[in-house]
Amino acid sequence: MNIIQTDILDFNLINTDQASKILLMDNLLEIFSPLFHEELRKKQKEFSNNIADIHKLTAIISEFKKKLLKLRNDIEIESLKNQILQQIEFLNNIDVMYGRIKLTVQNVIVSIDNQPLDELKKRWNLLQRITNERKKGM
Amino acid sequence: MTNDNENSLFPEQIKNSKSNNIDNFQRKLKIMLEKDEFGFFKLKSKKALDQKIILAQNKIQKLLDLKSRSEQIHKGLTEKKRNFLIQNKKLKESLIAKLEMS
Repeated sequence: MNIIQTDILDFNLINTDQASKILLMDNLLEIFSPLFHEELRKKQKEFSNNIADIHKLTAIISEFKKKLLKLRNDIEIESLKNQILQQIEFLNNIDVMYGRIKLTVQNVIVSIDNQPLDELKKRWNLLQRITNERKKGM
Repeated sequence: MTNDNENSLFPEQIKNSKSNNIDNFQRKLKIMLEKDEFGFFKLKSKKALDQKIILAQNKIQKLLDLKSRSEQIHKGLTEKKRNFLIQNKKLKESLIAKLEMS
């Protein structure tokens, strides 16, 4: 057996005497126990860093969530604007617009960029009604 | 084993006896370290902490995946919005010209 000599105690001191064992154990604890504690401290620091990372990532994802919700809302608005403008184009293509209808359509075009979603929906419904009336009159 | 006994043994036997003692001691020490009954080495805390670190790292990985997916979706939606804006601008300009609104 290879005996590793350390600074803890000379292995020659080891015998069956219990006092020597206790002394040796005490020395071992004194020497090695801080090493284990140091490792534990390192792991605690690693865990703290992990928790900090989780908080940072959660905050980033929360920001993304807000941005994505806004984008989804913006796209819904732009999509409806697109439908309205295409509907106006369709109306313009089926017949010449004049009078009150032309004025209404012009107002829709002018104000389209600054309208919230519910107002755009009202204008879309209005255009649908106009289109149906125009189709009936044809 | 007394000193008298040790004196009556050959040096090789004394050496073997000491080696056995060290072997026994090492074995007991190993068991003591593994069990860490008195918490000298904080092994239970270390194991619990290891488990927490694994869970935290798994969570970090999931969050990183989610961040990556969010970035991709954000990119796609931004592009979609941009296309709508361009298309709507052209359509509006075209209608203004057709309806003689300018």
